[in-house]
Amino acid sequence: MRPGPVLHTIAALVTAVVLAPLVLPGYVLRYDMVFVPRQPLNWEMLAPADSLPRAVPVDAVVAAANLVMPGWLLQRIALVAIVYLAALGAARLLPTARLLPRVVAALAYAWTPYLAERLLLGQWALLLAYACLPWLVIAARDLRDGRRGALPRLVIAAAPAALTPTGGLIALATVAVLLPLRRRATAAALAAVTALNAPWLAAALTGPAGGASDPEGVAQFAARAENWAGSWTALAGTGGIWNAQTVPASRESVLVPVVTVLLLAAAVPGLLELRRRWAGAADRLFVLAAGGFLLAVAGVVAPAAVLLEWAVVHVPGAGLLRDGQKFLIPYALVLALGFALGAELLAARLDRAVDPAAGRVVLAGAALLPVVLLPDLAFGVSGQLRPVRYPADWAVVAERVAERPGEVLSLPFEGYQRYGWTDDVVVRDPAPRFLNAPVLINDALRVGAVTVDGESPRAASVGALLAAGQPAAAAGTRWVLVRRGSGEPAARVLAGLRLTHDGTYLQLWENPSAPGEVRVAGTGRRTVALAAHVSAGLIVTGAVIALLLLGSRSWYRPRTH
Amino acid sequence: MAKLATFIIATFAGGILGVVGVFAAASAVNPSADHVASVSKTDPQQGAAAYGAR
Repeated sequence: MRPGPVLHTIAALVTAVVLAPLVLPGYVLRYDMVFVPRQPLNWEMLAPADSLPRAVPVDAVVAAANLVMPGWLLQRIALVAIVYLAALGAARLLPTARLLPRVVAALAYAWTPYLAERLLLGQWALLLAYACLPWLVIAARDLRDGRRGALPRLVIAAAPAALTPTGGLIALATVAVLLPLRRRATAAALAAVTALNAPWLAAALTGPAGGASDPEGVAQFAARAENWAGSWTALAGTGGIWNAQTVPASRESVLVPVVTVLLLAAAVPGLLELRRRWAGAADRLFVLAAGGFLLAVAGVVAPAAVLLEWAVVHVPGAGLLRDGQKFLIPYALVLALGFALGAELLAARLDRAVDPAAGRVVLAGAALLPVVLLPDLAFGVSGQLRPVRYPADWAVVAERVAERPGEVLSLPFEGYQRYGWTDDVVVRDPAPRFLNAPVLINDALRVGAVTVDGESPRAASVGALLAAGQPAAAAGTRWVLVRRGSGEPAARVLAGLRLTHDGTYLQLWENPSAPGEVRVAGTGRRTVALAAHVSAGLIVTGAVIALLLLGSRSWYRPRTH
Repeated sequence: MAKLATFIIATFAGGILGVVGVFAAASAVNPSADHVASVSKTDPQQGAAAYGAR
């Protein structure tokens, strides 16, 4: 049987089962996942005027893609790509001549608590890094071996990962660790991936938000126990996300730690076998995975947590490390490869000792084990990834703001909120992406009873102004958007404003005394941001052209290593 | 002996597959399960504006 079509079929099946509810119309809106019909391409997407560039360059890429396709379609392409590429990439990366172990690797990497939990938290761009990692490892290994077209493939694999700062750092670390030092190819690869990270680096280095974060975030975003076995075991099974509301119900089962241990036990001989088959290269991958795991546990180990708290305050950008569980990506890949090879070894033994059919049955059971461990990932994490429709108010408000552009203050002054129209699912305020204007939202994060301060000085000052009982007009924005439902502002907050749209879900108020100018980053900052985005885009374009000219198709041929 | 082992392992794997299938189908078609999944973690004390809870 030809492995290529089988693996594509398996990847397609897994994708269909996980994302089944996406056949319904609408947008899946959950926490950080906010797609809108047409996201505007403006300076705020390239270089946020006030806040940290957490969504740079992903916002610009989404806005550019929205020029040729609607948001609902783009969201489906992105989510399908995540699951499909993760499954196919892990299957192709596994060094084996047999087909079934590849199927085991596909399911072990594409059916994980990590993927489920980050999907529920809406971090689709981070999951692109997850999906790209196997491909990046393949390309890095090819580059080590001097294979044709390896560098362009490495750039293309790293590009989706670098859509977010965290994914970009993971891609950069992967290249730095997997490739040998003091080689021209390594230097070229590092330079290219650094350039892919340039958009968010440029925006952060030139931005007004500073790089310091609230140390409270370290405890709040640290890994969390999901059952009786504690946070370490949760992380060992690639779970342990900080947010209890984005954990599939099956993770709380008493049996999960037992099955996790079974999975780890099967992975150990597999990892030894991986070392044998990838002499030298496997050790580097293990180092990468161990580094990611250490970052994940850092928040729950007392001395490391103290160090992290110090770092997020004093080291610019260290706030990226506070949600350490997201760095489990390389560990998840190594675990999947180890488990698949462990199952292959066991199957080979049974083939010899019992019957060839017995080995195949073991491999089929191993392929299903991740599904047994996490059955509720099926059907959009048991229906939680369910598309909803934006109320028509959003389009009306967007039109009004576009007619008279000006800064928008979004109230209630909370970055995340549940709405009736999202089926009571928490979602980030869609206004910054829906409206073609700078939108001032609160970047402080409420985790239970604790508020983790944001980094935007302007958001902090407006928050203080509102807390002091001042009217919203004092913030000086042309527009005040009120998202109706809960926590609506009192009448005195809206004093001095003129109501221009009064809908069921949104109200838009105009501030007659506010200046009409749109706050954007300064010219120098915009130039730097644009140069960084253009250079990253040129590198990706160059890689695609190089690959086409080389006619390299080794990604598409089954490899047995 | 070999056939017996194969039968036992196949029964075990088939049983797992069946349980998963029943579970997945039940969660897909049962609206009450959907409802529970989306609201069971909501803590009314937190209000509507929390990013999450530990």
